[in-house]
Amino acid sequence: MGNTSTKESRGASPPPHHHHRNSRSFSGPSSSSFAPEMERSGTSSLRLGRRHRGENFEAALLGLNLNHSHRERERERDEGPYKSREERRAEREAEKKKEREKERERSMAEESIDGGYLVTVGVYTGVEDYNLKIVRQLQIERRLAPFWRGLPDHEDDWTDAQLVAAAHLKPIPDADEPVPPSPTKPSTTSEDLTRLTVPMASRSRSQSYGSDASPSSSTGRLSSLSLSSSPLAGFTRPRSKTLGFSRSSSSSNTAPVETNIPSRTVNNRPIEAVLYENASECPICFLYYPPHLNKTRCCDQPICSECFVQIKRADPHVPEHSPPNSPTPQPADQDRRAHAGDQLVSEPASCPFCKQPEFGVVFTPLPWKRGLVYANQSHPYSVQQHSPLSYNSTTSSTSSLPGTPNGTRRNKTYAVNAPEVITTDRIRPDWATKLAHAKNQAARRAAAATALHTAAYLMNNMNNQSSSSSSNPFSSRRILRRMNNSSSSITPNGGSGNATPAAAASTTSISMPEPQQQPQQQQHATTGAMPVPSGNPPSALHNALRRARMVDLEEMMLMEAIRLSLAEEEERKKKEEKERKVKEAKEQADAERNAAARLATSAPEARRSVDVGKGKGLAGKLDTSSVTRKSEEGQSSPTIGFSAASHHIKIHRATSDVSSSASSMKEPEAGGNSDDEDGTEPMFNFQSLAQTLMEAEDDNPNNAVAGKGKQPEHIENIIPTIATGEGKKDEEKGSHNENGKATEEPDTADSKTGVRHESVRIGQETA
Amino acid sequence: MALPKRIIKETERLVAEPVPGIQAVPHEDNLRYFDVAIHGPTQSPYEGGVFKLELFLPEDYPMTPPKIRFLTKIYHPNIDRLANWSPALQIRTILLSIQALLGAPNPDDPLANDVAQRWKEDEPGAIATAREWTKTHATP
Repeated sequence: MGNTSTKESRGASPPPHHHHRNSRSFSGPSSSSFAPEMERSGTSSLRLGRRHRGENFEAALLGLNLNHSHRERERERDEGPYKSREERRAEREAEKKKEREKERERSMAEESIDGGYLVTVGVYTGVEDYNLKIVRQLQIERRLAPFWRGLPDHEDDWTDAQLVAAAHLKPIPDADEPVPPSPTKPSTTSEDLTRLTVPMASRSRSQSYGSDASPSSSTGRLSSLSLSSSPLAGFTRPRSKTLGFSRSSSSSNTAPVETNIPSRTVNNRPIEAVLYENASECPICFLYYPPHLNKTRCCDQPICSECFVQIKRADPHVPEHSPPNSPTPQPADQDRRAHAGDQLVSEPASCPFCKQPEFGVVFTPLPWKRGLVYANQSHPYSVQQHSPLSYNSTTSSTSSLPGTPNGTRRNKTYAVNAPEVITTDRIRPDWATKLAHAKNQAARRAAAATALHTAAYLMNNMNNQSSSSSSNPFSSRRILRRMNNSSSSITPNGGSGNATPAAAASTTSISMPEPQQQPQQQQHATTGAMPVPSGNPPSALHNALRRARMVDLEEMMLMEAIRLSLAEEEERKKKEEKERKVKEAKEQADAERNAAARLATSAPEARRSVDVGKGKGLAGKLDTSSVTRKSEEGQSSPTIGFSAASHHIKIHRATSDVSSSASSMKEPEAGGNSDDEDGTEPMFNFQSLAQTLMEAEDDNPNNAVAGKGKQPEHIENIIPTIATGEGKKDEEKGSHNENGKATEEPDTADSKTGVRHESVRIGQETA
Repeated sequence: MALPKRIIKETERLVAEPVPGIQAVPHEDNLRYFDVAIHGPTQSPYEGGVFKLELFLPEDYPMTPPKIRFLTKIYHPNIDRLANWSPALQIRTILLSIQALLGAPNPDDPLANDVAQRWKEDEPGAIATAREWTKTHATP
């Protein structure tokens, strides 16, 4: 899926991946995970058994185990491909790297372009995230400088021998040292040189590059230059034929074929000496290069190709100076969702020297060619047509003396769309895809936020209006507005800043329990009937049914994901809690002799009954449980806070079950013991439907699970989003961004949701 | 990992031709990490102060900017709000621009909002505070 994205391959993201994988394999699908899983189911069944003492204990136990094994299988099925996908990706990346390394070695050994290379020499060590093929082609076409080796040092008075040594990074010999024979090819005769130079000249003659216009080749221009500069211009056609430069081949329209000009000398001098004779320093990497570097299109500064390929767009981001409070009214939910990512921008890289946007370079080809060329370049270059100004005369005059530094300052800047300009986008054509991907992701985040809004509305609705039957089946926003009206503390169109705390207050049951566990607990104990819907199940269910129709499947899926992770976390917490409680109960047994026995056995049981009771509407049991809990005070409060929250999500699940028939295959029996398995079982159904929503869900489960770890912040993050979603558009944007940041989880594109829950949860456990 | 030639050269040049009023000395054990001392520009509230900074060249320097932090307390509206980085800039240029910023505070592009506010509303007072802080924290 997303593993070709450059960002992922850039080293920043692999660690999380590995972490996930490790943490997952910790309780992975294989035999190693079996023990923990068994243990968990064991404790659960124990709990269940207590609860159902004397009743259908066995059925419950069986059902539970069945479900667990279901889930186990599900996870196995799920993680199997995921893991292997991960491995495959890692392998692929390693292989790619190895291959690239090999290819680099091979290319450096075998290929050359005008004394340079077609692969980076190694100034920068990061991943090469530019398009290798495009750069290679541009270099063979002489539209981008080859990757010459940058020399750490350079002296103007170096002899040829010294230059050659320097170019090969050998110790600089004495000045009177003779020029060593070229390692690849012994010194060439003038006949060789002739053979090499002439074809270009003849070819340039044979071509009519004034007429055709194809911007993808520069050899035509090059030829025209060598025509004027080559001292051997008049020579022989037969040679040109042997080299494939004949008229016929150049006019054929086949794909470019690379041909090699193997000579390592220019004008009877070693190519290195000619190249580096008047070396100039790249102002960015501070290395010395032949004085033929790319020049910036805007300010004519030199920049070596190795540095150039490093410069790229910044990653997609929200524009910095966007008006924070635009008075635009909030459009419909769908619109908002669609536009959520649209504000992301990614500006083209700007010139490092003059900061002009849309950085691009121009390379003036050398007057001679060595190494690879395209033999059958059929599309003569059209420089003349596009830039008929002083450019050509300047370049040809300067380049007519090979090795002479390009002293003449170009007094012309190139438009960014001039054919000879190579922009940073040109060698990274995937930038648009990346931006689109980022926008997409943002839009999905927005969708996730919308789902959360909806969840909050529904909960509010059920709390505040479980009996009032006014239904707005098409606008969840209107529901909240209604709710706002009914809860007198807010005006419907009040600033969302105000709406935020107010909404939070009115939805205490969702948001408050977790940040404020102690107060909530008290409230719990005193009000007793706080979970209204659970005490009133038929109407709640009724409402839920109705709401279910108006929220689309996607949102329901999201909520399902949230609920799942919440439930899982709950399960885990319960387990911990229980273990601790058993211990503490023992200790307490001495101090509170009268209550000891009851606590030891009923504390966990009571906790179970909170969930079940709520789910089934056993208000009485709930009351006792909160009383029980009160006696235990501190230890159990986290669980209380959590149950309260998860309970509401459960109601949602009920709605989602109804709305999504596919996910209801296990759910209809939700009345009985299966309530206990709510947390685990629906994953099965959910997965089958959620394939298309994976990315968006990635955010939400994380949200939810992160909320467990840092409950207060998490809630604050969500609730503003909810409230502001109701408010003005700009506010929504702001909070949405905030939300996005808070739950930033890059590069989870292809991980399955269920697995993600698992990995996140386990990550927390191990952490 | 080998130190890129650019860092070596920049360091060499910084040592060979130091910028007046600026010292940048690389750590011996980590040549990407510099101890920097900038003298407060004359005619500025920071005159007479020596401000210590740390400068670190990240892995992909110069494609990413150096990380710079003031170690000495300083009262300034927009300290460390550096110009947009570009790989054509250098340690030298960035330190120079910090020094220049000391001489010309710009409360319209603030980093420290409260300081900027004060600078706008009560410039003499703000300058006095800056001077005081310089005396207290930055005078060797």
